[in-house]
Amino acid sequence: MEFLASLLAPDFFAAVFRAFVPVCFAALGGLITRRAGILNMALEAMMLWSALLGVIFSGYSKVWFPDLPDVACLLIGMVAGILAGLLVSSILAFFSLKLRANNILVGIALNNMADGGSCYLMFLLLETQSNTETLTSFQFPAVNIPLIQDIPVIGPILSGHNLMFYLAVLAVILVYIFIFKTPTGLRIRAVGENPDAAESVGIKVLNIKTMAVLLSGFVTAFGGMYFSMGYMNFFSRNMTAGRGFIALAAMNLSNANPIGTFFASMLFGFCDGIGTRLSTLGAFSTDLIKAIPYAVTMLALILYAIIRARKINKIKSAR
Amino acid sequence: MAEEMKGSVQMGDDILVLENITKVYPNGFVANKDVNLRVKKGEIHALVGENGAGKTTLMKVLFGIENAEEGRILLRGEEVQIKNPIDAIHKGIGMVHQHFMLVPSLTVAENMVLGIEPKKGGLFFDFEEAVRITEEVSKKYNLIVDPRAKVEDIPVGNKQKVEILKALLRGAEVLILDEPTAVLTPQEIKQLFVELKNIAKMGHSIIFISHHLDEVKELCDNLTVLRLGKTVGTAVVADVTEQQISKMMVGRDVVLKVEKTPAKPKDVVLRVKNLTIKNEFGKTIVDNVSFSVREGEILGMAGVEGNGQVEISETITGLAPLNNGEITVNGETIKGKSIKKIREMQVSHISQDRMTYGVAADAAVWENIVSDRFYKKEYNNGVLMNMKKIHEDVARYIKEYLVKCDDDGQAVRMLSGGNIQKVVVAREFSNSPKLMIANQPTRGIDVGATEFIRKKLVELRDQGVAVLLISADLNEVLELSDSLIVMNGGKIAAYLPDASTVTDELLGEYMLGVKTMSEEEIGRVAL
Amino acid sequence: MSSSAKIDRRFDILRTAVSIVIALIIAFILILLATDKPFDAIGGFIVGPFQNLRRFGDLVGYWIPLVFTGVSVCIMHSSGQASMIMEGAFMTGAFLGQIVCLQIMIPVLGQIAAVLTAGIVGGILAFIPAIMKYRWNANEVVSSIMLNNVLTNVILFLVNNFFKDSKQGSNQTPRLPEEMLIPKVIDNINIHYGLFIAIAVLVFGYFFLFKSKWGYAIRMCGRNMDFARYSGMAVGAVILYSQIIGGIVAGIGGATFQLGMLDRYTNTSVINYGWDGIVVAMLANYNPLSVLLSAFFIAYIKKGSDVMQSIASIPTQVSMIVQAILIILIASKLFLEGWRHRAIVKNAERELAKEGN
Repeated sequence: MEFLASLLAPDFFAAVFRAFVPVCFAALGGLITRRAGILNMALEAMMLWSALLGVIFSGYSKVWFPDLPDVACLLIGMVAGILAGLLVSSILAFFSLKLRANNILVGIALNNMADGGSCYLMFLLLETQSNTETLTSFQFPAVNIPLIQDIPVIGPILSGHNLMFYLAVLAVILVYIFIFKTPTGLRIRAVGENPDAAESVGIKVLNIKTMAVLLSGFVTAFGGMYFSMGYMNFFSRNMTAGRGFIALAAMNLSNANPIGTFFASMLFGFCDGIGTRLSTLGAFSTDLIKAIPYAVTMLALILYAIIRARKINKIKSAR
Repeated sequence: MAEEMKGSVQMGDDILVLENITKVYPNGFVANKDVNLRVKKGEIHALVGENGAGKTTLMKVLFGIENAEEGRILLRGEEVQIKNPIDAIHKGIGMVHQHFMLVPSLTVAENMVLGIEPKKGGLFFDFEEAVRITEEVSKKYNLIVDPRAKVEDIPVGNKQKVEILKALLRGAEVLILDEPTAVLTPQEIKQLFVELKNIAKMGHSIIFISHHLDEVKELCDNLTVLRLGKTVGTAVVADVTEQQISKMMVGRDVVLKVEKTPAKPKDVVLRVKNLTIKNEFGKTIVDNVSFSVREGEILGMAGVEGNGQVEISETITGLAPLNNGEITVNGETIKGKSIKKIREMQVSHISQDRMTYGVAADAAVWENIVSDRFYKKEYNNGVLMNMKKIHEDVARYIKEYLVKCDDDGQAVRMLSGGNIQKVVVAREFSNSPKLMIANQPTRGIDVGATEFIRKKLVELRDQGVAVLLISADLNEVLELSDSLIVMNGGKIAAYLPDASTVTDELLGEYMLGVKTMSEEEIGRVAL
Repeated sequence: MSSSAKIDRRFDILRTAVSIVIALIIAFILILLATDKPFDAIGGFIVGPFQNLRRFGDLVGYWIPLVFTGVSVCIMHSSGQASMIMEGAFMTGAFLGQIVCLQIMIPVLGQIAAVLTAGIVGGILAFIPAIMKYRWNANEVVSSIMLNNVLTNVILFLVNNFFKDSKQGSNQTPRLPEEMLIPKVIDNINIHYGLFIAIAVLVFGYFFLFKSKWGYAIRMCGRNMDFARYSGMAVGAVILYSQIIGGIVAGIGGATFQLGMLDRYTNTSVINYGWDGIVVAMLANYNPLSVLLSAFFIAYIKKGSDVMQSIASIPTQVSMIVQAILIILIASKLFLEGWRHRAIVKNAERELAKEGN
């Protein structure tokens, strides 16, 4: 009982939202490419690099320009993180779209390269391969929303979270508007569903796909930066721990709809939060708890596939 | 051989003239030779011809998908170069493809304005404006569609309306419709004709590609007949009969006689009874068809493509499920049987889709040849395949079927089209079939390979195999077959027990629906 | 062979060679950045693995597991499925190898039981993403990676709660006595008898994939699934058994590696061999016999980067980066396509000119 009550505490929601943020950003990134007809396997790579480079640039800008205000260093880090995400996505776009490499293999290779490369870069700069704690770096602040924070019960739940949480929610809305309410979003959807139709009205399919991949890098970068500049203020090895793939599952479950992705990401955050709560209670081993998100993802995959198969069968039997 | 027939209806000036168009494909195939086409403003012009006559190629040249070697295109009296489809659209030519270029999950309005989207506030898509534009065009041409409906939810007829409206919205003065009635129900066809006549009255010209002569008679003003890549004639539709059109369309330049002794058919091998097949939209593609093929006989299935032939061959061979009707091979039903089981009933299949089904292009010649028998005892010593025997047999087949390749390990992709087909034939013929389903066995390959494969088919028949030969090639279907059925509109239009007595003319009339046999006469093929 | 086929063959080799050169150049640049003794480091990388028997033994120690995972990927991916389960199957195999031996403290019998169990479980694990694909068309890449992660955590849990070495810190199992391990061929050198199992698997892989009807079906499904179906092959079954067999091989590989190279199990000592298997298989053009060479090449890179670390403290991640670059370049079908196209056109012109005379 006590356990259930603890679920309503603001603490728990904070834990859920913490897990939600990176999954949400990465899922939105995966959603944009999925709408253009591409499966983005390199979300891990995008997040790892943006996490690391964001920390490095924000930290080093203070080291080299000690007079810069902290906020400026943070912003520099943010720009670096975004550029990192764009760089990874442009490599993905070039090799899989232009040189026609299998995008699954390229994605996996980029992920492995990011894991090894991020350790290597840490080594080059900081002579350690485990984390960047020796570098003082900056975090996005927590935000207390005036007025809302004073509402009893709900106030503490909604207010006081890291800025990036609110950015994630905003991103959901922005991506929704982009995909469904802009001409470019319309073209992306056309290219993803029927590239011949798009081609026949003069749309350059390759350009649209490339743009979708780059945009995906931009959005996913925020997910990566949350790890090292929101939740923590340092980067540690393999910080993303498979969240990129969980994000893909969340995106699939919502059938590439931003609003659905919001809820699916919340669901994974919830599983994560429950897991942490259970482990602090000592009820289950931390290790097993850590396995929960991945197991839930597999179930989600099966669920999604069953739903899709039922839908196809319904169409077939309607004849 | 151009024949100008009587009169010409005054309709306005020529808006489009295709003059002396010659198109030769890289492999040497002459698709169009000195073709001429004149269309006037406000005219509905039929472009008729069999499969392979060159209609599609001509339209590809007009729409900028292909470039002609010789000849010129004149629009509104001025010579133009059409570089690509977007260029064609800008110049006022619109194409309504057979396979719709629509995005299913988007609404009609969104599909309409794709590529020319109206904006509001500079950034956002103005959906209401798209709806308004759609309604405006829709009203103007009296083609009623619901702009807010999703394309995946509307019936096929309406999808086609959207395609037509798309072209009109983009300023098409000349509309090309390629076999538009193939996907429509009879009611939808009637509706379409009303709409098209209206569009023509408003000053647009329509090029109507079809092999349905009754439709041509009902809808079109003038027609041009293509045959074997050349213009055979033009006419005013009102002044010619379906029979006359058919005679112009169907006929061979050169009759390629095939040497064969008379057939001595024995017992029935393949029996098809009351076979009905519907497509994914619910349209009946094969309508209660019954026929049988006997041992030692080649039954030809003639007809313009798209009249159910592919569906029939795929159902017999197990690629598609058998839902309505009965099919037996030597008395044994094929219903519910796997493709492997059906092949084990000694049924062989030359698919019309060589590169998709017939071969694995990146695999070796030998791998392609043994794909239907690699698991059998004779090719396996316990756990391992008997590579020696495989290569021995394959070497024999390569020799027997004249497959020109460097060695049996060469990737099939490297061979010429004719040799790729010979690989298919080597496989399908060599497994001692009792029933052979051959669908377009010599399409798109060189003369030498064609002659060879036809010879082999006759050999098979002489050995007692029952052969169902599906072909859109007149020479093939008339000269190789012993008896003939003609498919039209998903039904058997005629059964001709002695193919050698069938003239091109008669065949054409059945193929094009000018004539139909009585059910009684057709019923004889099912015995 | 016809001249254009010769050109194609030549270009495939050229593309692989250029990819290797580019990857190595990038590696050298990374090395330059990391140390002020770059030539010592590069020297160590290139020659180090052969400089003494111990080092060469380590190289062989790497080569053995890579043969297993390379062959596993050859079999699994030749059917057109992109399952990544070999990483998890290998790790689970290693874990089970250690545990089974710990429980059955009987020499020889223990090792055999361990390897067999590892293989069977590996097959079962590989079956999971395969059946998800078969039944529900669920993407096997994501499901297999998820399963890998689940396994990592479950194994960690089991190690920490049931099989922990109480005398050591967490995450380790107790040591196995020497008689329960796979013996070394030469004392204190990492060339162990697992080598022979690896060679056996190599030979098995080749004969299975290229000389048996099951392997033939796997390869035809991968080439053109429509063609396979039309020819009568049971495509769904092929997908299933190709994954299962790949999983068995990876599981056996894990147990062999664990019992041959280590005496204690920790998660961290058995990671990445599965992922490495992908590059090994790609370089081998998915032919198990060529895995002999490509596994050796990757093992060489791994040992080379080990040597670099001990000489110049350069992180071993260099080899990971090199492998990733190789995958991307080799997978790019249009890499160097401009050159290849020009060569083919020139050749065609030459042929036409010859015929004209």
